[in-house]
Amino acid sequence: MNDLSEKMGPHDLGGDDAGPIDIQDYGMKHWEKQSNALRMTVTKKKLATLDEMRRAAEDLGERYFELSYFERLAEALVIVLKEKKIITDEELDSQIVVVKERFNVPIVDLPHDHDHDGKPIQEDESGEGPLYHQLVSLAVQDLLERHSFIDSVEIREKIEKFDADYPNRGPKVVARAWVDEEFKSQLLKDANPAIESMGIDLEHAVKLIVVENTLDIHNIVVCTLCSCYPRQLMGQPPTWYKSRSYRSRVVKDPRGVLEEFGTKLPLTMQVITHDSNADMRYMVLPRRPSGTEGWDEARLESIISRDALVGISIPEINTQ
Amino acid sequence: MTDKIISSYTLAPNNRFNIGDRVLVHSNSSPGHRRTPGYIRGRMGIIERICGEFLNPEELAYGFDGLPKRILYRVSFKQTDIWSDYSGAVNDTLEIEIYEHWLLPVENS
Repeated sequence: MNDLSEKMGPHDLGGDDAGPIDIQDYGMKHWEKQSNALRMTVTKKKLATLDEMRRAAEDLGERYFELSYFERLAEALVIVLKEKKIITDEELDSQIVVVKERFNVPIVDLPHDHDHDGKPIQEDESGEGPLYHQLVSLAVQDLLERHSFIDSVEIREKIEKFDADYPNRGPKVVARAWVDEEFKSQLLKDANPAIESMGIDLEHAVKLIVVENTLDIHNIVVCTLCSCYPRQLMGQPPTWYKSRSYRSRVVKDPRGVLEEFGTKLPLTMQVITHDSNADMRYMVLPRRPSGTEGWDEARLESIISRDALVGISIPEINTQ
Repeated sequence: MTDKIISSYTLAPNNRFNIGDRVLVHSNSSPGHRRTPGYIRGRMGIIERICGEFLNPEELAYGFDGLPKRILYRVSFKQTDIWSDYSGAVNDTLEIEIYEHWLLPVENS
């Protein structure tokens, strides 16, 4: 029956065969955080839509998977900003040269066997020179700032929110739902107002659905077409969430994928897979583990991992 | 905090489908930016909830205003109706968002 399916392009991965999932989360380099913050600022200011950037990335064809997630994002952003005549190739090329020079390390009395043949040494946080796409992303930010569309403070503040604020929100909401039945029923019925009633500002940027794990039902979330994720509630998705293997396989074999993450579920339990493909974003409300009776919200938060909010793991208490 | 309470859902005027309705996803393969993945096209499911109306991503993707808005539904599918070789439990389901213009009514038999 699968012969009905026709892939739209390289991004349309749901149901593809793919290898094992690398379940480690590698975090993000600073330039990736900058690139992410830049994208979110560009869409918030309506300079371009997320849909335009997705379309530009999809149209990269075979190169789609030759590039990393943030490399694709950088290229897609440039394509769309050029289409909209917000930036030009010429100014981008010359700004890339300027940005590259910022990474120059002054040559001061280097030993003769380490003088890099008299060439400037380039350094970034990796100790290597900057990647091309990093230069592109920084240069785009410079140009948008020069044209007074954005301001670098906004980008920095967005990065800080991603580091220090957004990732803490999901566990707070779950802990509240675990101790307050009335809140929980509001959360499941209509998540946005329930979450905002806790003083969490969702910035009108995301429409949320919370799905509850019970004794009989386990929920798991994926975005097969890109990497939709409730960032204002949960921060950055883990590396594997954006991977080809996860996106391809979890819609067709959710139980197999869960087992790779060490979560084995009985066949008596229903698994509901949520493909977050359009305008809504999803958080799983995990089941409160037994042994946590009488715990306060702060202590409950400490056992709620990001993976549990995607439905890939189940909160447990360390009994050792 | 915001003065106005903003729901996760918006109104869906003149919705063609209601919760519980059986629907079929269009199986056309027209080019362009679409949010209906290949694997779900041509499959039959049941309306799980109505999310409201949203700007049309198929238009937004090319720089247009996304109007008229399109009603978005969440549709629930039995996994065994999607994949003939599904290896999990028979009551496992997949839920996904589909815009109204991608859905066709199915007569209840």
